[in-house]
Amino acid sequence: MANVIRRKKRKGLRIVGQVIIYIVIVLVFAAYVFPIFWMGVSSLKTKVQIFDTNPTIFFKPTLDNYKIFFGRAEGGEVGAGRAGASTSFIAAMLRSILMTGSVTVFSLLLGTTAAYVLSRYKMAGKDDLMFVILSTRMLPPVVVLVPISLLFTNIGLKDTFLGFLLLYTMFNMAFSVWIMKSFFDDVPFSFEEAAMCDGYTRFRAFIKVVLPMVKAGIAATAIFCAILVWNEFLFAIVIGTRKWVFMPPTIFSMSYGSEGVIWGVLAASSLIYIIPVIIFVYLVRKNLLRGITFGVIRG
Amino acid sequence: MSMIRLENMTKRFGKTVAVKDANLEIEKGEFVVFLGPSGCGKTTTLRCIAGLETPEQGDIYIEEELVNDLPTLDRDVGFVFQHYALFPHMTVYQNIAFPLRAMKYAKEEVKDEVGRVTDLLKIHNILQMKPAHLSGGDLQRVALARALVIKPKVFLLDEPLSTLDAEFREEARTMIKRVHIEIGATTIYVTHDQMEAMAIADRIVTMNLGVIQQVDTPESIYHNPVNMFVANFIGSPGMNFIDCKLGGKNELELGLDGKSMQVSDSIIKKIKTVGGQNLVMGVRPEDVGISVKADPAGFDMEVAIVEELGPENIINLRTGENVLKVLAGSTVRPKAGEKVWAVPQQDKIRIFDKETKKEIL
Amino acid sequence: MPGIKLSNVVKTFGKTTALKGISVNLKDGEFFVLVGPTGAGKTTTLRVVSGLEKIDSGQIIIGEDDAKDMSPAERDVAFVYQNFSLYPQMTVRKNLEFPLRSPMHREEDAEVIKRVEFVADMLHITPLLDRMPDALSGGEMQRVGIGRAIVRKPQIFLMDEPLSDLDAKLREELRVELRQIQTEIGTTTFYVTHDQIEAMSMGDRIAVLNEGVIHQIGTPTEVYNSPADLFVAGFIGNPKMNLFGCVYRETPKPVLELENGLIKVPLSGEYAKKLAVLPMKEGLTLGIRPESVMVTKQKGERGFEADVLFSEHFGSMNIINLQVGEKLIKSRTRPTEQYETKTKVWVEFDEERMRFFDSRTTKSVMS
Repeated sequence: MANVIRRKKRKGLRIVGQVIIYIVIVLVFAAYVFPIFWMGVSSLKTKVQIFDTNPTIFFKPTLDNYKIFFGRAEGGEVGAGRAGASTSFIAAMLRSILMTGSVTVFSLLLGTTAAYVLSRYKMAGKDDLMFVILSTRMLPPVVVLVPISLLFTNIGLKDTFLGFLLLYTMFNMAFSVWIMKSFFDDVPFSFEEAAMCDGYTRFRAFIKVVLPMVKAGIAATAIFCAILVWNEFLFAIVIGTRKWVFMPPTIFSMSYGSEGVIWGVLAASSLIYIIPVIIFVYLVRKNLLRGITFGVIRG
Repeated sequence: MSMIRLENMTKRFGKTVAVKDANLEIEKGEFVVFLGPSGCGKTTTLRCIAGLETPEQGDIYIEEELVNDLPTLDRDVGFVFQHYALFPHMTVYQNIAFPLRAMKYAKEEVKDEVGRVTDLLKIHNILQMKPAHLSGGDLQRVALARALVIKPKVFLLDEPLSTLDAEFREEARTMIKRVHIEIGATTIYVTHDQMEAMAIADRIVTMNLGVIQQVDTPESIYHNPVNMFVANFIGSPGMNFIDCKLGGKNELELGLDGKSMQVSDSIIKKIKTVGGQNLVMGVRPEDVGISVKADPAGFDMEVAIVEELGPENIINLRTGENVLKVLAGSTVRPKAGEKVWAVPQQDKIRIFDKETKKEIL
Repeated sequence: MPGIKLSNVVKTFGKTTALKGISVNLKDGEFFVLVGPTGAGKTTTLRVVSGLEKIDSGQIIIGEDDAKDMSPAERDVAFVYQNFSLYPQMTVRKNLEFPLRSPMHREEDAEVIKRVEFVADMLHITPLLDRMPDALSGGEMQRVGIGRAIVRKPQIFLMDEPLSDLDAKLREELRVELRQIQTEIGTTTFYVTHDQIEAMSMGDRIAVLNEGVIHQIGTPTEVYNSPADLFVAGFIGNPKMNLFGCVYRETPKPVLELENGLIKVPLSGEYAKKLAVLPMKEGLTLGIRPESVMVTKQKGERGFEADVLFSEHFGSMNIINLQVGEKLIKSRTRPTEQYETKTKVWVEFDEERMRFFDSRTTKSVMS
């Protein structure tokens, strides 16, 4: 019953469609990769070279920006520092790494266990509770910036490790709980039941049997949590006033000098800053593969 | 002109060859069953015919037209999936109407065609319900209706009964056969259950490990299996096999701890033509009798387990690692551990080559 | 090995009552099969026996102990599932070892290894020991699943349709193997399935369950030959038992009038005498299994005429579908008998195999 003319037209359209898709993919890829490429190139240029109206492919690279990064400033080009004097790039970077690591671990612990309970146990109002958890991410964070800042000042959490830990963990809860719950939902309860019949407690069954099966979820959650903290600027700059100054505010302040933005330093410091994240995601990438339970659960 | 023709079709998934060099012709209006164990390639072959998979080699013809590059929607096939694949957010009516709407049928036409299949499958009372509220049997009717509404040239069913409880399968099977008779569409039905295949097929295509073994009517496949796989796969229980070789005069030496039995001249003649070594004796469970007295045309074995199925019993005999199944009436009930004589019917004994697994004729 | 006793067990889930007062008594070492359609309550029954669900009322006694407050681990049961729970991140060997390394079973390493190898050998899975679950076929996975249950030497096996997902051929083989293994080990086994052939083949005794109520308990042969009610009559046996609305007329000659007089079955004198025990002569349902429906080309004394609709050939037997008016009758015959579609044949019933039921109460009135 199908129409022969329709068939031929469709075949032609298909080829055109495929070509268009390929072009789009290339363009999108370029759009994403170009900024990083630009950063890399700019980090090796002096200010004059960056603003050159006729940029050439071959230019004389300079490591000055990197020298500034590693603490050896050479007069005049370093930012006045909006956020206090005790900042150097390296120190800020270390603080960021510490904070990100701690928050990621803490968010995983809290989110995963909460998600497991929500997945396995029956409770009244569970859907409502899930919604409330999700709703914490429905407001743009800036809306609560002032209230939290004031609150922290009053309780004495401002500019403290604990304060940031609690704050960032709270931001991560929505994602952790929702993602992990969906992974736990995919693991049939019979796995824990079988272990419990064998004599394992619920908890041991959870650790030994269920957790290994949701590695993909844990990896995805860890990456998301890490990136959120790593990039967080707004609260970092408002609440981290003196001691706990993280990298994003530091990059910002150190790249802003008397003559305006120091693009070279900005580029160099940003480029170095994204490296740990890339390494982290690279190390975790295998675990992102779903399908560790597929093939065993049939029917 | 054949309806469907496969020529040297091969389909691979990575390094695994799912279907190897398949050659097949299916006539218009035939009800063909692809039969074989899981992983034999039957579903893959079906999907290639539908256009859901593309073979690496070979050609597929529908009504003598080469369809290799034709996408599924242009091949005019109706496909019923194993798990139905019904859209959960749509009512039964909308599910069935879906393919027609996708092809831009007018509203009146849609109503007419849906009405036609509704009458055929008798699903008037569930038209406004959603899949979540339907029983397995109903879901199956809806899946069939959806496949049939476009009046396909070819009707493809992928293990349609596997999700149903055993007690509903017979009814559903009869319904599918009735639908086939009424609309006369060429049908390919995939299953691993040989009873289903025997009951409804015009011809059965037996497959194993990606290779087509035998294509024949149910009777022919049952009575003249070309090799050991087919002989064992068809039949409930399948054919028994015991290693054997030429023994003394008119004697067959069996691989059962040195036992032997008398056989007819015609069998001896057959064996001698191929040298008398490396052979396998095959006999169907219903062609073996049980005797408490020693019989030279038989051999003794121990009763392992008796399965009392109601209308008949399956007596499982054992010697060492060898198991022999005997189909007997419900009154035959030896005790476990008892020693009995298994006496195969001489004219039903077949001989196979141990290496090639083919029958010696 | 203990027996299991359930007395009047009731289990509700919210508003639905899944089990409406179940009583069964499994003997020590018995292979007991609970058979019924999907949704009957079979899985629920197993789960309450295991302790994974708590019952609302009734008693569960395992061996000598009241199991009501015992946890699953304390009850020492092993569960074999339909969709199998092999831990995908462990090898087959580690899967088999897992139950033995639980806190309740502190075994020596050497003992663990020995046990695992013994079980693997029994189930013919020794070559698979170092493979991962995703490299196994359905049948192999199921064997490993059974191995996991056995390796612990529990008091009781609870098996929830373990063969349902397997190919028909594999099912035929595995059900015999499974039954043999159980006979060797002697563990009390509570097995659940919707496939009545499995029940008939494997059970020492079977119980027919529907909608939370047990209809009959007995040996497979008892249940097959003397079904307690119409549900059992229709559920056990494939093809289903032929059922007819029936009236018994004694005069002038004893005859059964079926389907409002559509079919008349004359009876022999001796049999008519046996029918004297029938509590009623009207409102009966006659049940006769296909293998007791005889078909011949020649007219006989005590039968009736029917048309052949179509035949199904299964190799070792044929099913002839007959029609009288609107009524369909199935007959099971030897493979040698062939009947052409649309021919007329003569049908007789084996009197000894006729069963009568009260159409209103559905219960058997004569076996």
